[in-house]
Amino acid sequence: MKSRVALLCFLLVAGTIAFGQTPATIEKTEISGISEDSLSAPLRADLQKLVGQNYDEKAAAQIAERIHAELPDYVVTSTTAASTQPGRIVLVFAVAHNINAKYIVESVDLKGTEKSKLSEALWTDMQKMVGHPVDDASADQLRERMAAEIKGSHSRRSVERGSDPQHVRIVYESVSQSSANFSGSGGYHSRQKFSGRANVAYTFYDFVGVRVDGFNDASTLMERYAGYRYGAWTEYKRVRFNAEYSSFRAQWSPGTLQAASATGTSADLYRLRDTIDPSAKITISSGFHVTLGFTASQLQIQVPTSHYESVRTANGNADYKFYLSSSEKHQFSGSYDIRVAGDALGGSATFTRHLFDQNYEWNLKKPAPGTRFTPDGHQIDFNVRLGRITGAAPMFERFSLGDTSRLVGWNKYDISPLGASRMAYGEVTYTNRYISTFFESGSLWNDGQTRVLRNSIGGNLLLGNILHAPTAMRIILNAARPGIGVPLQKNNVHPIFTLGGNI
Amino acid sequence: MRTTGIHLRSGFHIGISCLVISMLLWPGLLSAQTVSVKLEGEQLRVSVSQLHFLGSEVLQRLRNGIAVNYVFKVGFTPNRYSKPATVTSYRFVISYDIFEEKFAVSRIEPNPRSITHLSESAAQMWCLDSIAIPSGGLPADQPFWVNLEYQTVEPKPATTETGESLIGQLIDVFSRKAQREEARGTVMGGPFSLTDLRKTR
Repeated sequence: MKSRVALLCFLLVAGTIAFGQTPATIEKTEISGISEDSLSAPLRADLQKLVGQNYDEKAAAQIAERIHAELPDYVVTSTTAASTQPGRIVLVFAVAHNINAKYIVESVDLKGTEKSKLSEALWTDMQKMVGHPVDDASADQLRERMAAEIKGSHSRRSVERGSDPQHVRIVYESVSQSSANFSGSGGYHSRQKFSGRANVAYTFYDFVGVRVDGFNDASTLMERYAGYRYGAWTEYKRVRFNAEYSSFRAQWSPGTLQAASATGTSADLYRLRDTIDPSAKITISSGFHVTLGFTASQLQIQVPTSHYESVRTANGNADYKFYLSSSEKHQFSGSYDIRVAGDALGGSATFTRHLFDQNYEWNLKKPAPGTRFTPDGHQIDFNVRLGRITGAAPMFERFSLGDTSRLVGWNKYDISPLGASRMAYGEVTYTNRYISTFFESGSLWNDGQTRVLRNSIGGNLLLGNILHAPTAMRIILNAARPGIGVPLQKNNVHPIFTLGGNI
Repeated sequence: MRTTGIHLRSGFHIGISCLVISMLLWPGLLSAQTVSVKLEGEQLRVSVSQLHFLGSEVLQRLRNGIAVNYVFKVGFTPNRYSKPATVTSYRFVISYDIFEEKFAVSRIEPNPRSITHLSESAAQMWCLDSIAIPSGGLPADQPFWVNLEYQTVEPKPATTETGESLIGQLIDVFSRKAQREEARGTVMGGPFSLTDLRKTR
């Protein structure tokens, strides 16, 4: 009974507030997108009659319909913009071919360039769009002026949702016709030591590109490998052709050497690995790609005598990514990868490798745009990876867990020093502005062996954000991500310390 | 290197992987476009099943709030290989409401009209349903083919630099072409004959 009375009181108060609001007075009416002269005289007169009257959504919709009747090829919508005086509004009829003309510009932003690269006049003209409905013609004119001012690049424009309802942001992006990038990443694992990768890439018009990578990596595979990789790609419509050549020298851990010796598989351990890897990536839709390729590797093996063996695989990969809703709060992504080696392709290895990787990302609070290296949102990630190899795969195809990014509390050489042909792994991660914490669970085993499930917990610090460091230093400190992984077992609990992440 | 003898299984797996890849591409293989023609009064109404002219690149632009202009040209030819003597053009502007996530289409010419709150497939359907051409010039008993071309067109630049040299303008024109590939396509269907179409009306 009490709750019903409370509900009734609430409804009465809410109703009083709702009905008590005074409708805003129309200060003036505007037509955007076309000249007012395009309308008939009676319609223009009726538009003027609205000035000084209280805003009525129905009356505005009727006028919009009359404009549409006179200009049937245009989309006509009425919208209101704030006036300089309180209690007054500007009634705008957006007449345009672009439906987004009904939204009011909240801000005009730049991406890929800086305000200092534009003339003051252009920046001022861009800012003049704020507070008005989106006008494609004017916005495109400004894009052309921007392209003329920033030589050697082309400009794109996009309209994005603003922070207020019915308000949008216009974003001008400057994309270089050709670009050279240098990037690097690295990680440290207290048992496996440092891993690093440096990359130089040159791209021409998003159409063709070349790159060179240098590696010294103990994290990704069972071996520490060091060397280089050259790559070139070209893109035509939905297909991206890619070709890579790599040459790596392998270094094996004492644990792996000992295990290989004990099992009589020392002949599986190669010293050099050279690979040619052509592939074609086909874009089926913006969120779904299929990649087909072929890999030919030549391995220099020293046991029993120095000789070469080749491994050739046909590769297929399908990857997808989609959001469950337009708010982009829930994202599903994943891939399925298959590699097949056999007689038909030549080579001395015969195996099939399947890897199934699925990810769900729940953005409790979405990071602000442009904060990739300085994240400030709240996010929960679920990741599942399942792998299976049938046949005898070379060491670089075998699965491992226990590195800087997966099953961090463990050392892969302790779990399975020769890798494994079966893998099951799951991870839950929570990340916010300052910290990332995770729980991981995984198992590696070979066909016929018993499965041992290993768990670990851990976390990483986003030091740059914690220390509120200046931007450049913040990016470096956040990338360093000092972390700890603790194996969940009763005895012999030795935490693993890490820096960086997946390279 | 251990090479346990399971070569037959490996061959089987290669076959399976080819099958999986083929299945992944299967929708593309199945989506053959078929042109059909219907006579409505003296108008020939052209429809194309499975024609998804909004490609991924165009959809990306639309979802970025940019309106995209399309021109459809439809014409008749006496056989599959000749070019149509006369073509009828249809111009559309398609846009995507970034809040409501619905498409809007404006037909600029002929017979201006516009429509809003459409799904992606409905927007494409509305454009194609608009395409009708007079059958007046067609011989009643001779077979004909229908040629439908579509392409996106960039809106003309709003400003022209009057002081710029011819070479400068040429560089500008060529660089602009390189920036964005037009989305275009052609579908052809036939042979049709007016006599048959009148019978099935």
